[in-house]
Amino acid sequence: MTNLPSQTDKKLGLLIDLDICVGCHGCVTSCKEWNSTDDMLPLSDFDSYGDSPDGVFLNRVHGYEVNDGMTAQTVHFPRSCLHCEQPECVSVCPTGASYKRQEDGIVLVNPETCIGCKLCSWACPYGAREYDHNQGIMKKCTLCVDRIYNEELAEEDRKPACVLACPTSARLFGDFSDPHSEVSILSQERGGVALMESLDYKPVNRYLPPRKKQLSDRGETTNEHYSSGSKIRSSDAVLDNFFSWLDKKLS
Amino acid sequence: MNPAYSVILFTVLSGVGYGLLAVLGLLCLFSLNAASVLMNISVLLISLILITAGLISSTSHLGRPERAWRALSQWRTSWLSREGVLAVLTYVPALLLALIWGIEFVPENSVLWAELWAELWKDEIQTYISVIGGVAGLFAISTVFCTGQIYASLRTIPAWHYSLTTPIYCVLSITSGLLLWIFLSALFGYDVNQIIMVITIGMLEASLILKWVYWRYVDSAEFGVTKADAIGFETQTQVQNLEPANQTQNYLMREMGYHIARKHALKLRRYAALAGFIMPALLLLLVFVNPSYALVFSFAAIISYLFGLLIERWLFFAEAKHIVTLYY
Repeated sequence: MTNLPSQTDKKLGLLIDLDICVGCHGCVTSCKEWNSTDDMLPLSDFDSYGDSPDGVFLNRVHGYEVNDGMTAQTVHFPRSCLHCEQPECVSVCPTGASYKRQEDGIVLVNPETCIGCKLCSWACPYGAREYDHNQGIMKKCTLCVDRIYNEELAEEDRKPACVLACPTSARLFGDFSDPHSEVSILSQERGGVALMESLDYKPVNRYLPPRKKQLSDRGETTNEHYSSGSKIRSSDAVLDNFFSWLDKKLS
Repeated sequence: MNPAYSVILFTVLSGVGYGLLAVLGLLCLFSLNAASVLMNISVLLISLILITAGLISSTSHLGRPERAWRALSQWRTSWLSREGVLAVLTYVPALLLALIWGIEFVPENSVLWAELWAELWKDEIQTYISVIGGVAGLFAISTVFCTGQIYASLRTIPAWHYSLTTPIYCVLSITSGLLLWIFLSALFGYDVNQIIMVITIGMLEASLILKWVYWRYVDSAEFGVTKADAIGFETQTQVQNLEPANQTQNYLMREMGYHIARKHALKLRRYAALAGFIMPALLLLLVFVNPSYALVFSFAAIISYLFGLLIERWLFFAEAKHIVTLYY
């Protein structure tokens, strides 16, 4: 049903640390791999070996240059479904194929009842939904619902594929409704951000902003470098002087 | 937004069909329908053919058209579902009306049951036609209202999320219905009702003003959020694309990233206004001046209007920008 649950028991989601994401696209490929194998309908690709390969991805990493007037830095920005508390992608769905789970807040698409009208992708400001032309249905991040509750897997593997793949641990998975969860605590400490909050879709996922690069800190370090550098240079100079004196005496 | 031909064709064709049915329904409701049963039933069938053609075209937009019936289930939350439900409901009074007129059309005394029918219903028949016609008209225009609301409710597309989006859909639909009704009246050899012509010219000019206001709004419509907000930085932070997420195109870029150059858009707006709203009004004035050529002029008016409407609808999609483009 596209009626939204008034409240969900849990708010499962991802915490993504923009400070340490290196933009390796490991999460992108591991997501694609997990969601294309076993019982899952594959995320279709088109023209894979041609001039303009194209395909469905549930997670994409963008690279931006961010300039706050003081410093310019490169930010790698992974983008996937934020599992909003007010997901308009769900309420616009005419068939009830899109739904938000009451038990954990995950937003899913039922591949058996989706008619592929694409309206949900129009309703999402975050570009979380991608249409699969091969199967004629909409695809989106499932938060690896088939991993996180999967008792066939070892307990440490019951996490979304993207989280397990991240080599820098920039992606954390957990329950944002529990104030004592790792994701809640880190989000609280580091000022986790909800994207485009003013639109009021109430995203669950949070992004940790890059740590502030303190100009004074950098100044001190740099000065140290310079001073130690000049020390070396000054000792070099003493030696140089000695050798030039020796050279003169000997010649 | 990508101007998908299946959706443009649907909104134009069924828009005209529902408009014609709404006009017919209103005429029935107020018992102003002086036309013969033959014309009434023809108008009704033409409107149903247009509606059905539009609906079939719209299902070609679906990835799984065979599941289209499922779209009738979520009318509590989804405008698309409401549109579907009303589209189906509209057939009920429309087909009832067709049945009544169909039976009336059978020459009296030629068939026993037609005679019986006439005996039983003769007195009340006009009341039934008014009521059923009124309901058909109401459902028809409500369907168009839902179509408008599908777009107007999307907060991700400021060009559509606007108070005039739905009224414009309704006004354009009724205007096209009036123009088609005028042409059909002339075709069936009636003197075109002058009051209806005046109303139609008024509606055409109202459309022109509404669209002018709408286009001015589109020119100034803003997302209300910046690229920096989109990636979680402070609003004023400067953000530039450095590395794209993918080297080639993807679904989001094709579907939401469609962009039309402003120069072309301005030219097309002029064509839409000229063909859609100005030419038909002038042609109707010519009908006033020279009623003996009513058929030719009214035919030219509806053709010109449809041409303008196709451009208007294409622009409605092509000019609309989606918030997701901030990421690209």
